[in-house]
Amino acid sequence: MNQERITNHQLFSMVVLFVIGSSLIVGVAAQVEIDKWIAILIALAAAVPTLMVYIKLLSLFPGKNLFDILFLVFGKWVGRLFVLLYTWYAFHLGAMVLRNFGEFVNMMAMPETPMIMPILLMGVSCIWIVKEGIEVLGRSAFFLLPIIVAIIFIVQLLCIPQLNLQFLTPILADGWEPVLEGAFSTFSFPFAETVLFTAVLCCPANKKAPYKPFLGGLIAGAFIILTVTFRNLMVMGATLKQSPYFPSYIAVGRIRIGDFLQRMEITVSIVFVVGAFIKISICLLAASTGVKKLAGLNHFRSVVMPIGILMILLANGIYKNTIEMVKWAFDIYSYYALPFQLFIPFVLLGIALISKHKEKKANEQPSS
Amino acid sequence: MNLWKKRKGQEEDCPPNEQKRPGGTELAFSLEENLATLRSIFESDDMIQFRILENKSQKAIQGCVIYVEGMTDHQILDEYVIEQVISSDVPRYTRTDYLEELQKKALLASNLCLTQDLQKITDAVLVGNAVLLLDGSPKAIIIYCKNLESRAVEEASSEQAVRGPRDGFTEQLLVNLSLIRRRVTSADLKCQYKYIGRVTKTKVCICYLKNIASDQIVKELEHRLNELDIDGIVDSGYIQEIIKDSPFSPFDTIGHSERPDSIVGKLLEGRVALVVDGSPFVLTVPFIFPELFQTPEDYYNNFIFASFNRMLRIFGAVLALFVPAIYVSLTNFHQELLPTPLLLSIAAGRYDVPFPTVIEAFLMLIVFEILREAGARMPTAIGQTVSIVGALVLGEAAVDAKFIAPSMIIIVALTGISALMNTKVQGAILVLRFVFLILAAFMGIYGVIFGALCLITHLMSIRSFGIPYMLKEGSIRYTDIKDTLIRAPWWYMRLRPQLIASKNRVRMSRHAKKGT
Amino acid sequence: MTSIRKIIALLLIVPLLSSLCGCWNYRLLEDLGIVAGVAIDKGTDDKFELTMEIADAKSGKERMVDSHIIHSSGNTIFDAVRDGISIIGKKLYWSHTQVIVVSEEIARDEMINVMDWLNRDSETRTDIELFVAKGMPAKDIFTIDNPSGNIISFTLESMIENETSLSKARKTQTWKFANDLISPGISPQTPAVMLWDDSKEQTPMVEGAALFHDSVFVGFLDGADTKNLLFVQDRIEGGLLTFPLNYQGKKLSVSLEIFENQTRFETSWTNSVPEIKITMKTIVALDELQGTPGEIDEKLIAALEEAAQVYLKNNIEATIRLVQNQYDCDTFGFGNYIYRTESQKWKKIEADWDTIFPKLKVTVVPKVMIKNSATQEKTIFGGVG
Repeated sequence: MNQERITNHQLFSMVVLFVIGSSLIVGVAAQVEIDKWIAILIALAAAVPTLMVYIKLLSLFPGKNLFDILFLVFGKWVGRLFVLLYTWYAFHLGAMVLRNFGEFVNMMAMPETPMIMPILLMGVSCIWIVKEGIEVLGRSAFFLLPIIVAIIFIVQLLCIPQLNLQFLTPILADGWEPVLEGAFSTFSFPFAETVLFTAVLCCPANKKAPYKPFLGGLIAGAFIILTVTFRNLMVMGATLKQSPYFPSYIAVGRIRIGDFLQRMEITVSIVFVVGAFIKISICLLAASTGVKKLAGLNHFRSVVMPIGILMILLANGIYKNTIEMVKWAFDIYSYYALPFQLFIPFVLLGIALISKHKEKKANEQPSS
Repeated sequence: MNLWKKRKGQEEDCPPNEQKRPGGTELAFSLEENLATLRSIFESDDMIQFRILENKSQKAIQGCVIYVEGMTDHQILDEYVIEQVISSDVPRYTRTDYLEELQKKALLASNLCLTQDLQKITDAVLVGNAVLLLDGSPKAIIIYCKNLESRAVEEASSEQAVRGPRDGFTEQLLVNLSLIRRRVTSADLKCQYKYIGRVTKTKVCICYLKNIASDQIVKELEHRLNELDIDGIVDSGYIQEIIKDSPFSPFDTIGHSERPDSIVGKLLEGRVALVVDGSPFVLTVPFIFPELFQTPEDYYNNFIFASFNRMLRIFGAVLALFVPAIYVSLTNFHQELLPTPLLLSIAAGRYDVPFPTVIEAFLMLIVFEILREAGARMPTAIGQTVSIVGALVLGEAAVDAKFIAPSMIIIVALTGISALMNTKVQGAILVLRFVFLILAAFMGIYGVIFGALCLITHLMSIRSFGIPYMLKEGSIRYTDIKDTLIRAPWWYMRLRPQLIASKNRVRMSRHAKKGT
Repeated sequence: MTSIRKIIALLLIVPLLSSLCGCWNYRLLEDLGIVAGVAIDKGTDDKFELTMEIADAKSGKERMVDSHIIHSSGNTIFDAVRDGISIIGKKLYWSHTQVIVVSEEIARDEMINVMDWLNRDSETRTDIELFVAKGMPAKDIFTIDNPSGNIISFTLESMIENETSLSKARKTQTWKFANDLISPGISPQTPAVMLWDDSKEQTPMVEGAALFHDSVFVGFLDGADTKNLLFVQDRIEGGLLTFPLNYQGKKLSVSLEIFENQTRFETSWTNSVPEIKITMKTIVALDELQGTPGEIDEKLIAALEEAAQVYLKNNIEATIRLVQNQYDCDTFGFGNYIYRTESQKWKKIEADWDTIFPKLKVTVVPKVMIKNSATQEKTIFGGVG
């Protein structure tokens, strides 16, 4: 960690790819139908201050990541507990995304292949890149981002003939309740999951806090999700009520320009694979860093492989079927993730600010 | 190198190729003793000639010229040395000074050196120089009259260009260095000699521009060359493989070129060149990914045309890597992604073909590689036969006999030609193509995507002498794609590449406007 | 890692890798029976009877794409689909299906089940064209004599693609059907297909529409009524307006070619009972003028426009009344429009829409603009007398 540095651009790319990771394909805010975009905007408005809390926390303790801060603020034993909790959260999240990916491949592309295969492939790739370190991860994300953005952009353009503005009406027909529910769900998946970045990064001592790339990445990722959601809404309209598992796939399948530009779902697959790759890698990295902290190791490289394999196994066995996965993701997950994403960082920041304030006062006193 | 140390029973530290020399390491005073020593060193070697000399007028002046038959310039030897010694009337006052007197006053050859070191004398003789021994003197004169047959400077056969200079390196170190030096007439160009290889004692030269190249890289290169412990270097390829950073990667992290203009261009960007005697390929260090797709011609042609060519090359490389894999995955796993008429055409072509698509692809790729390798090894007299056989085999007969589907022929031809377009990355593409094909056969397009992701991971993690391999790649900032994806016009390429030339980045002044 | 460990690791990995051989989803092209089109009928004992047209690709110098027909039946649609394997020996592949023809019986009773299967299956795509066979079992469309060897499904698909120039039927893909089914206040429709006897051979013909009330088929509309329907739905992209005109004592027959059409709805409420006003703006060109009116001047143009408007108004309102009274299904989407623009008011009347719709007062206000008279300004005329 001390030699590996990532630039602002690389951080930006990682955040964008993390945010759009699994959300583009699974969809967000499934509780809402036509007013999804309002839910996304509200969630974004709530996520921006939350992210600023995360960054402020990092900048108060230069050179330390979230786990170090937990130890510092809460002491050895309680800190250890929290580090364990966060490690579990990262681990669980990685397994969930892995499973999402496996379900996607299993359902849409290769029904007969047992789900362990795509999960294994993805898992092995993530283990490799995490072993190489965060610098390689950052550079790869930096390289992949323009490609992904270009693909999404071209697909959006190609979808234009299929767009139907009427599908966006009526606005707020069902009132604000489902919209707020959807906003809450979107906030916790994917916006506030970026708390894991605090676990893998630390603010270098004499540089500015990374507000711009972090927030910029969040907003850019949210913007991409917004445009894709708009596209899905305008292409599919009411059939969204049937709750397809992967709406983007079906929407993109409708592109037909001339007789040749058709059947472009492969672009959706590529975007999903790359996004999930980055997201799972970050989760794996966070989990390995947590274990490194707990076990007092020198480097996390030695634990990446066992944690990765455990993640693969967990992903394989975590749900019985897709229906369970969807129910968990949209009904329960927001509440489960709330402490990790909201409560603990806020409490940490509160305690840190108070103690810094006390320190300042203590420093000032002798001179006065 | 370390393997030798582990062998049991090997007590000596000295590798078995070297022989212990009889006697000491210095010459004696007496000519007979010296001759006896040297004759025993060069025992059983009929090529080494000993020419005994005696001065016409002063009988006490006795000497011997030792040289290798066929490797010396006899004009220098005969006229400037032997004749001078024989007919010299430099008086002999004191014995010890006589050799130096002769050297200063009688010998006409320009390149001479006095030495007492026996090792140096034997090395000099073996290289093709001549040695003059005089009775009563413990020193000897080495006359640098080496005259080896060598190729004339002609066009580089591996990198031909339509536009640009046509001289290429030869196997002579001095000729190569002169080709570089005559283009870079600056005192900042430093050339440092080194000798590598215990048996071959190959002379190599490190060239760099002191005010631009990074000192760390030069030091690192020197360090690695010093650590090199091998018996012989026959071609620069040996050095390239041994000192490179990621030995198991299929991608080159040390560049090579046969063209002086290309090397000089790289020197001007801050890279370090390594010229190896006996090899027309000069190495450059560091070597990063964008250079795989650059040719010197890009910089001489119009920038629009050059940019187009460069993008074509990158596209060709991607095509060559992925096309067979994508074809196999689409027709075998994801038939829904093909438009219906295309699918029916492919299906029609595959009717009655006995092999599954993957086997077909493998077979045809291997046949193509066999043809390529055969074409490279075949004597030119039979070269025509190969192309005819290739066209017949790959083309008509396989399709007519319903062994291979016609769509596969197109795929393989496309892949093969695209791979040949990029010579520098050809080796990597060849191997990786098969890897992607296997991945596609297992997991369809997802295998290919993951293969690509792992390839990106690998490329991002390797470094060339401390510089990340994918420096600049993937950056869409204007400053970075100026020389990777496109070739920006010269007035925009004001700065040298980061990290490599961090000492001195300004190439051109700000006022160099277009059209001046 | 020491070298012994590396060797052990390698030895463990290799047998694991070999399990990847023969990946489960690897299917060769020759093992797939590509279904180009399917006809769904109700067979005996309430079973589903499927008639599928399989596209074969034969090789040889002239690569021909052949088709052959297979039948299969089953208790559910998926059951019938899988039974097809026992007949053709290959697994049926639905990702390239272009066309589904449904018989009237199925459309009446089982349309919801058909839609469920179509939407849920991952192989079927959402842009398959739907048809309802008029006056015959659906399989007859495929079992006609087909000497030219063309694939009938592809022919049907290009027929409906080119309907935009004729506007006598509306292209309906499965996603649109599902959309209309699920959206409140609108009922779906599909084009109708029938066989046309040409004394020498039979060819399929696409004309008219099959109307549904939610998911139950209620009846057909003929070509002319379908065109009016398309006017209201704002789906006109081409076609003709042909009508007679009395001008200055002469009887003329006019053909106007439609270039563009825009339809807008407006609702007005009286005592929470809605009324719909449809405004249309149509841009046409004068394409054929029979009779000899002499010069084509502004007066003639004005008269033509006026006549066209009257013609449109009468016909469209007649069609609307026909659909309201005879079929009682809101194919036009009036309810959907109210839902989209005034969703609160829609919520109140939603439950009673079935009774409100037949009595709905709809006025049509068309506006026709003739932009040019094709290439000639005057009519062609022969010699005197």
